[in-house]
Amino acid sequence: MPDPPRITLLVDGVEVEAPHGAMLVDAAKHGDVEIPVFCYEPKLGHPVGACRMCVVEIEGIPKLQTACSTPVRDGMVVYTQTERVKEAQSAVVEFLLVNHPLDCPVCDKGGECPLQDVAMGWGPGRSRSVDPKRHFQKPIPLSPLIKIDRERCILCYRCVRFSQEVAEDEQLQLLERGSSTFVGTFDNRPYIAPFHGNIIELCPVGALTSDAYRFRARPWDIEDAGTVCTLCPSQCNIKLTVRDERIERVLARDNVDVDDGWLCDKGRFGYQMAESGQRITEPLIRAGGELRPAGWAEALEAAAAGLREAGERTAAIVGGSSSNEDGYLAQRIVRKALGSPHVESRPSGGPGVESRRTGGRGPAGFLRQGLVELSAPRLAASVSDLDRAESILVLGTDPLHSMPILDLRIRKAVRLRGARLAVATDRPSVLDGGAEETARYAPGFVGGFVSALAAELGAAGYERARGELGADAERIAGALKPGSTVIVWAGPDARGLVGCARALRLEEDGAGLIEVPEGANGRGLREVGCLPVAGPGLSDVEQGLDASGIRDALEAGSLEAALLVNADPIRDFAGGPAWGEALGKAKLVLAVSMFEDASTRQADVVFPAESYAEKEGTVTHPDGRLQRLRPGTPHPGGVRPMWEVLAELGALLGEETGVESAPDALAAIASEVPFYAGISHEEIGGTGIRWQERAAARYWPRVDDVGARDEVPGREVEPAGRTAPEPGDTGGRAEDVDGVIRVGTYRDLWAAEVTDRSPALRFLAPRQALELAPRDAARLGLGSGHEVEVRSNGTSVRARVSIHERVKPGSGFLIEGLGDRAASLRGELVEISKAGEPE
Amino acid sequence: MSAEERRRLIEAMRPEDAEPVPQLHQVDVPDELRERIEAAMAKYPQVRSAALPALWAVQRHYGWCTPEGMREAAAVMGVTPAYLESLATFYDLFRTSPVARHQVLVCHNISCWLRGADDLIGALCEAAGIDAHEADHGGANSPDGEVFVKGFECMGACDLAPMASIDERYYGPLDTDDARAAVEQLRAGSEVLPGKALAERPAAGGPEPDPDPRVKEVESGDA
Repeated sequence: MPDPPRITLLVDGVEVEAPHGAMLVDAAKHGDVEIPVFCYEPKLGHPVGACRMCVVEIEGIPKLQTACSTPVRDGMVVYTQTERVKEAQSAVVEFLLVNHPLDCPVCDKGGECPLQDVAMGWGPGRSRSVDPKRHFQKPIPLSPLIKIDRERCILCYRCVRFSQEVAEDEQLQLLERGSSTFVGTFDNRPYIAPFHGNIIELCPVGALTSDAYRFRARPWDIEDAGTVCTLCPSQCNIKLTVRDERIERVLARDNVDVDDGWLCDKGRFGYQMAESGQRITEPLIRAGGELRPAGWAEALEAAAAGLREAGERTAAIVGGSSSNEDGYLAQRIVRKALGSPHVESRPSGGPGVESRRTGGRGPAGFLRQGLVELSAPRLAASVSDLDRAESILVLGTDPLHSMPILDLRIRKAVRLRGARLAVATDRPSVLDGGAEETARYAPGFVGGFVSALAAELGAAGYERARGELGADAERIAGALKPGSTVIVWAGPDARGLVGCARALRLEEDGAGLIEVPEGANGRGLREVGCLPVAGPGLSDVEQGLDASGIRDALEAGSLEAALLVNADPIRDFAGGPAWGEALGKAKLVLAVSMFEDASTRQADVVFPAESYAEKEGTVTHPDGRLQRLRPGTPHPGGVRPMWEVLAELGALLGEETGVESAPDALAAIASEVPFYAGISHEEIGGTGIRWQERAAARYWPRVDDVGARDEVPGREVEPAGRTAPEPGDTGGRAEDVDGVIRVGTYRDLWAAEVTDRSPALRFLAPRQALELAPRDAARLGLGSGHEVEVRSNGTSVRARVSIHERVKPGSGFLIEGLGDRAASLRGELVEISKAGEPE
Repeated sequence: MSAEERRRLIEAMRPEDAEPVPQLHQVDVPDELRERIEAAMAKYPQVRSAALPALWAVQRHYGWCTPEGMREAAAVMGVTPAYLESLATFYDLFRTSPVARHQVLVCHNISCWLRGADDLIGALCEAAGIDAHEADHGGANSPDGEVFVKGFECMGACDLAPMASIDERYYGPLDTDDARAAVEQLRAGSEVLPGKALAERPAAGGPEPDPDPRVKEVESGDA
């Protein structure tokens, strides 16, 4: 999209240059003129002009105009300081204060309150109001996280607009009318929605306050520390509010290329995990069956001795919250010092790795080839490309759960620009409502669906599917526009995507792929070498075992040591509790962890991990943006920077890395990852830089170097019959088989350690639930809330039934990441039996 | 609210208490109500255009816009119940609390007020046993649950001033005797204020009155 032409206007006699069509209030800023606003918030979409605070005089227009909703044009003459304007603005402030209690001394917003600022700057200074003000019960909980004080509310609509036009949950509304109006919810229910914390930040007065932050600090007590949230792949830019070296609050640090200035509640309240009193703050060594505190020297020596002994029979699992530096150093120790190829960072395997259902693991050449092809710079879309795409395909993931902030971004594209949205998933997605087309495939059949879609798009070498699958693929294909489609996708079985990408011409500007990785820094870890099939820079390496292979090998004794860096495979990886048995058999388990968890219970040596608030390093956003983590609080107790610990461990094992600082660690990465070449903290800066936009992007591996392959990727190397379901296969429908459905799994937004470790979020911790279509529930004689046992091949999970109308009949869904064996049932046909009546 | 009460309130809040768009299987919509709402939805390209007819249907069915009724309508329409509640609380003709069998809305805007609306409300309330101030500020039910009286804004029938809308029919001009009679008739279930209804006026289809004698004179002069 070309930039709009620049025009010149006159503001208070000063020539101001601004883009054509900008709102006057923004244009005036180019001339250093501030026009006061309340209801105006560009993040909320179109201006509403409700509060009248921004009225100005424009030559040629008899009445005062709202600067927030008046687009500028060439030659406009504007006055913001005339008597008429001042009188009007002062009157507006007086009206805004008619019902406002002016309890600033006891108000949390005091000192950072737009109403205070505007009242001081533009108000009359005295109130003529003698009538009683409105009274409400106050403060009352709007949700367990937010308190509402309706007396302070000036009815600016911001929170309600957020609920209606950004999050689109529409739970928050203005009730009643005129002077009785108040912000509320249906039937006084709590407002609980994944993004609702944003209304605290949007509120221009102290009407909506964070329960966790109430009365904790004043603006003059606190410092802001900018960093990046690593609780999910969204990697939103945040500001930590730090008082006395403690994090008291998290605010958005507006980065339009990443988060648009919004945060999910996990990011906003999850800081409590870092401040938890239960953190491990010193190294621990197992002695006599118990973990006991030890000094760093002793712990490092114990770890080094164990690893030295295991040598190439060592495997490393790097968790998604690890920085690029942590991941790089961990894989370097395992590959170079110990000579083991077994490094993994994907809980259930990334692109090119087969799902359990289709069985087996493809040849290494293909795995790397799939990665190189699908993550190539020419096919990469940026988050901002979603603001320009004519069509968006969400494939195999529900961004609300996997990368929440993308959910808002996609909604924005649909709402503000009418982008065509297509959703193809196994589980119903919260984006379905705004989608032009939706398709449901049976759990585990994403590969078949993508191949069918590639065929419908006209990609060579793919066969059109018959029946419902073919019809679904045809509908989805019809909603996509070549050259201007962004595909947001996730999942292991998506090789047909290469065909889709080619047919949709995704290499063109403004089109492309965004892969949602499983871990927060999944992309960065992959690029610095935390994969069994590729080293740093996706270089060719001896192929190692993937996650389930490592588990089996530990169990069988062919691997002896496990290095777990910020990873709790028992909770997060497929197999769940089976990891406990595998780790129990290992001779050495070295865990780097913030908390004692299921995996540290099997550990012989534990290093305390840093929280993201203490870390210095870099992460890579799913769209390739390198971002900096900057320490906002000091390390508690004996916690040390992980790059330093890993560098020392490497040295003890004979691998001198020369890393003596975080910038050194990044330099080491840049020297080994060709497409990161030369990158430095300074270049990354405060808002990050996409490596695809740097000259070094040309060093991305070439597909031809990765191994011989056919014109049509994926077909040659895969056994026949895998791209599409077998003929006669109904796509997983099992209605005819009594009591049997096919199970899919998804990672619920709240199925995460941070939910359990943050007191404010604990009420959101999910319980295992089996989602069923109403028809299947009726067929199985089950109702909402029934306890059931879900079984297949000796694996069993207990769950509560939850009925959802949009679930495809024959499918059922369980939550991953709750520490049970749900993830092992992915794609399986299961039996369901009642285990109890509803509560 | 004490700090302790607040703490207990917060602890009782569960994620499932939030009210997003309800699914149809979670509500028990009476068939008749569902048909009315779906008929309204079929009339408009935007589902939200049917919100007011849907609320009207809920009110007809349950007597007032009950939370459960709004949830049912929300499930049929695929919107949040909060959206419907914001409309129901905005418009004066929707009741969001239980309401007596018969509704008397008395205009207290300028024309009717000048012609004695205050006295009319007073007489109605006295007859029905309702606090007049309460009735004039938001409405009130009689203790026997038969009559609801509410001071209302202009209903566009200034020619009948002072007027009232009784069970959705306009009556006027009314005096205090009419008020007492109306309450009695509503309680007895008999015909309300015969001859006072707008519908019984000739312009609204009622019987033709005798011609005005002055009109006759002019006509004969012409002849």
